[in-house]
Amino acid sequence: MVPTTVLKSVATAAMLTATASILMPAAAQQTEIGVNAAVRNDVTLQSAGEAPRDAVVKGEVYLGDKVESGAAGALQILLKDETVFTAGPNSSIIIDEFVYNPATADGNMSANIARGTFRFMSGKIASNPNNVKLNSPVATMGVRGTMIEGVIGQDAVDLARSEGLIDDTSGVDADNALLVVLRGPGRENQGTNKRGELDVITTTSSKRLDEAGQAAFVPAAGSTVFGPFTLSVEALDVFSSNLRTAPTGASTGEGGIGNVDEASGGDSAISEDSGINFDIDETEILEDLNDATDAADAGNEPDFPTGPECDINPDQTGCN
Amino acid sequence: MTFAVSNLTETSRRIAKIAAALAVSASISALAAAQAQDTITFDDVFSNPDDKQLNIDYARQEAAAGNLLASAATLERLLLTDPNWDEARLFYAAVLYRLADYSGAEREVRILEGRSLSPQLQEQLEDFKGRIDNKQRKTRLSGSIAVGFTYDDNVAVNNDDPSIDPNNAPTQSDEAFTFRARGKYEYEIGGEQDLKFVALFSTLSKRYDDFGRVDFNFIAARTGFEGANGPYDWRILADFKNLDIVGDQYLREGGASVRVRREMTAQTSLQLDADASYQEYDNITIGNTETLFEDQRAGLKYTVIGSVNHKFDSQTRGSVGIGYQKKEADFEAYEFDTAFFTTSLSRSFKNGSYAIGSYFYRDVEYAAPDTIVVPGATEPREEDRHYARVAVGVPVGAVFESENANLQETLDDLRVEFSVFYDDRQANFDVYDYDNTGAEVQLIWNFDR
Repeated sequence: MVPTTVLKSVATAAMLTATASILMPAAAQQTEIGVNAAVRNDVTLQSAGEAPRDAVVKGEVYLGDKVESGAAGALQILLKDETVFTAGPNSSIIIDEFVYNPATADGNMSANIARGTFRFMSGKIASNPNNVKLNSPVATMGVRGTMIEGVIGQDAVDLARSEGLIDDTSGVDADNALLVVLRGPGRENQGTNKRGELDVITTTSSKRLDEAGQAAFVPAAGSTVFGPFTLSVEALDVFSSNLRTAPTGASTGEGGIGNVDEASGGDSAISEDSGINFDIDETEILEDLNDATDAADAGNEPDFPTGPECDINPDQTGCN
Repeated sequence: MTFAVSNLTETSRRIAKIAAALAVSASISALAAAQAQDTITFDDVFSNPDDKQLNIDYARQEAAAGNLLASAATLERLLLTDPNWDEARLFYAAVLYRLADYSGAEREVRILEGRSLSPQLQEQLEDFKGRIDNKQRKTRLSGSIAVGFTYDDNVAVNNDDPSIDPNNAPTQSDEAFTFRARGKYEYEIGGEQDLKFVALFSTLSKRYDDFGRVDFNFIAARTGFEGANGPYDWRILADFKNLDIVGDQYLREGGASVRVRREMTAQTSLQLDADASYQEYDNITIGNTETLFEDQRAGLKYTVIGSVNHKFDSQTRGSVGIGYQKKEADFEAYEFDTAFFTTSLSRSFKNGSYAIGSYFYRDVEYAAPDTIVVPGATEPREEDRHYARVAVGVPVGAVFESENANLQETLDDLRVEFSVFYDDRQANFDVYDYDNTGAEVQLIWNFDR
């Protein structure tokens, strides 16, 4: 016969195990990965098994949360590795994987973007294109060190048509078509961010975008990737109007920033407006040094009297 | 170009002193201001994404450090919360511009054009509008024109030559006017290689105030194509150079050059330059005497340079390079091989001031003894050469401010640069030795059309 105390212990252990097994998945889903950094109009987040909650600034974002925005909604999410994910109007996004080790700045993330517009700016873990995967219904995007914008659905189809990529909609999945553009940093960027790359991959083809302004279009699942091509200013404006802002009233005043050229890290006097001057461009400095030595060989720098004329005849007048 | 020359020594020294004082003080104050701010961490922002002042300071800090993506994201956040903050929007446009997202920057500028802005903000808006327009044009003409005054001592020329009494060695300190012009024309052809047609021009003229017989004009012209693909960019040019001394043609050079650069990381690139050219020399006449043997310097010249360029932050950059050059000549005593080393470091400051240091060393070995210069020489000439230069520049507009917008724009395009340089050559025959120290002050006008 089994003692009562033993039975009680077994029962307690079984209950704890059952409780843990029920609670563990929920705990895993409640892993905080980021924060709502800015919210515009109607946006909700929904954790698994819970009711949607309104997005509020400083509100936590958990792994697996489903972000849904209304027709005028937008949400900027700040992830812990400094990735910035912006969901534009009519978007549906789930960040379903996020692993980040602050000590090594390494990790992985993936997100499923079902519809709408989005903007993605790389954080620390996007140094390798295998680390960050953005999945749309028709293609996967591998992102490395960049800022990209994309649109899924009818807006993508409309843009593709206006850009002359398609004549009709045969073979186009109007709900799921994807148009994505690499916004930068461009080749001439003056900062220290790595110039980005974006791989757009379907089951039948893949294309790499590696120049700012390049775009790709995927009309349906399994289809070939169109691109890379350069989007018109009008098409880029469509992204901007969805993902960026425009004033809604009188200016909220000035002060606190001062000269924006300086604020933005400008060194305009030498790095850009000066063109090919003897400026901060190291290659030009090298060229100048080479020219200087060429000229010295030819007899004019640093000073003619020390040049080859004097090599030939140092007693010549003027060769001191 | 001819300059009226008179007794300018005292005036030039005063100008140099004033320019140096201005440049140094502007640079120090800008540097001090830049260092004075406390660091804001990402965690601070993560915890307080709605703190406007904290975030604007963070955007400024990250932009200064070159992390433009973080700066742009921060400003987007602020604008999402407050879309009517025009000053932040212009800041955002400036950051997008620096990220080379010109269409994005242009969109923000376009929005601001319809806004009621203060004169100061309006002026900055016009400035950025002009810059963005320049970047989006298919054709571009940029460059600079500079006039300067330079002084060098040359006091040690031949100072090791025992045949010259060091106490009575003739010194030849020189003062001279300089004129420099550089220009670059670009025409964007486009395509996958981001192809451009380019034409470059540069000239240097020097007019001595006390030694007019060695006045010279140096002109270089290059034309060809530039392109880029993935992490690589390249250019291939046809080169031409011409040097006239005292009005006589002295050197003509024609050839071709190639450059390939690979971006290794966001901050570091490797670069390989190679050129080959044919040099042709002509005798010139100094006084009543025709100089000799220059024509025997004619021959091919080849150069290869490998270098590493590094961007420490958005305002500090440096490079290190090593190279090899071989020069052939009809007369073997003028043939040489040289290995060289070059490095540079530059730092810009927020008000547009900058400092640049550069150094060049080379070791030259000639092919045969030069018995004309050194009668009885049994071994070829060998020499080490060092050239160092430090320059500090400051925009005139940072020192003199005008309420007239056009005048201010002109002042912003002008800068005063003060530099000191040192050149030294030590050879195995004293007759070739010299060292030379000098300084130059230049007024430089930049243009970009």
